Amino acid sequence: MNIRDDLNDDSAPSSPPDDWALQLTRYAARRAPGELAERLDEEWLADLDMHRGPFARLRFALGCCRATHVIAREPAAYGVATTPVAVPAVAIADAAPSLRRGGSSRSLLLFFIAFLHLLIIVAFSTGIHVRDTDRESYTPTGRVIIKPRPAEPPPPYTGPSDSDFAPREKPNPQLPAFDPIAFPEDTSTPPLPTGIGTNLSSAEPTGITRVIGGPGAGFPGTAHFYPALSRQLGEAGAATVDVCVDTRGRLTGEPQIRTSSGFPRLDAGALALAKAGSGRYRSTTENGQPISACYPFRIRFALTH
Amino acid sequence: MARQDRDVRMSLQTLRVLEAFLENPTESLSGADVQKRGHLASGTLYPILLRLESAGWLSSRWENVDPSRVGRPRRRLYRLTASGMRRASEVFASFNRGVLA
Repeated sequence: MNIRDDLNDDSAPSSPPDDWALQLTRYAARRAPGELAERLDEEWLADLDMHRGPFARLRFALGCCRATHVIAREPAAYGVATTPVAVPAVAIADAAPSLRRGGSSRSLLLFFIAFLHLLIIVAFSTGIHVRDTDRESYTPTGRVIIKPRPAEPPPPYTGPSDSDFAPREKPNPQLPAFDPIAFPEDTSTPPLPTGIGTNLSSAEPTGITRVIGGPGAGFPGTAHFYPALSRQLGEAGAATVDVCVDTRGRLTGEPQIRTSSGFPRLDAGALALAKAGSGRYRSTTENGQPISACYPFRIRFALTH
Repeated sequence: MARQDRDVRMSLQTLRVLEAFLENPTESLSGADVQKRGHLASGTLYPILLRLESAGWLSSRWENVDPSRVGRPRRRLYRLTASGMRRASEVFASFNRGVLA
């Protein structure tokens, strides 16, 4: 093929890494089983030509070596006839042994590859660090650990003393049971909008006891709303959703994302869950009477192993 | 290369390859193009491309250029077949089913 001649003449790289990359790529292609060798030789040389920079080309060439190894292990899975043209009939049953010929040269190649790996790691330590950061986004709990949900600072306490609240801390017997998503009642937290994910019972100067609503009995769980692709990618986290609920526990408007989980797919799942729960919210109450109100609550998508 | 419409074992890397093709299903991409779009190593990419082609999901052809004229080698271009497009769409639709339920 004239491509090889072209590469050996005019377009042959001059720097040693470029030359290594070229030789390594061609070596890998020639070791491919069957008629695939000639095709990969030209294909990989063309793709190598699209990589800029000596180290990018070296990485590509090393990858080609690995690709050949993978293909040669199971050539039938890649649609390759296992009858090499120039290989004796003994090797017909399996083209992989052709890779095992010349064990000393193969060992030399492995040492060479190991050396190049070390060289690349030293030279591109900064770049590798960036890739490691990207990879963390695929760990099941990476986002949660790296970016914990920012806690909103509580306002300075200026209200009355604890004894003033004592008569108002009676539980409301008409409240339905808490859904697992909801959080236990907290009488010490200040009123909305700082009480994300909590149900608050607070006293206002007018003497009104307000209990913020939340997911009620029969509220759907997260299992059916966890995007399958997010599970596959290991995405997990918690989104805070703002909802407006009428006196009968139905949504009066579109839920909105207040705090993102960090993953658009999970946010979409949280919104779908919030919509599906319409009619199953507990309404906010004032002095025991349900009222229409807006409040935030948190939906957590967690992977279970 | 024998082409049959058969199942392909799905992995995250295979999904990335299919996603690169589904962004513009009529476009033909070289291995280097897919590598850049899917952020895959060449050692992972080419076995996947060959496996998808062998399963009939992808077809490939040589780039229609004269290497001596353009001053570079011909590229091998891949694109989704009709059945590959349908099968790949089904795979991604199944992943989205949880959100749409």
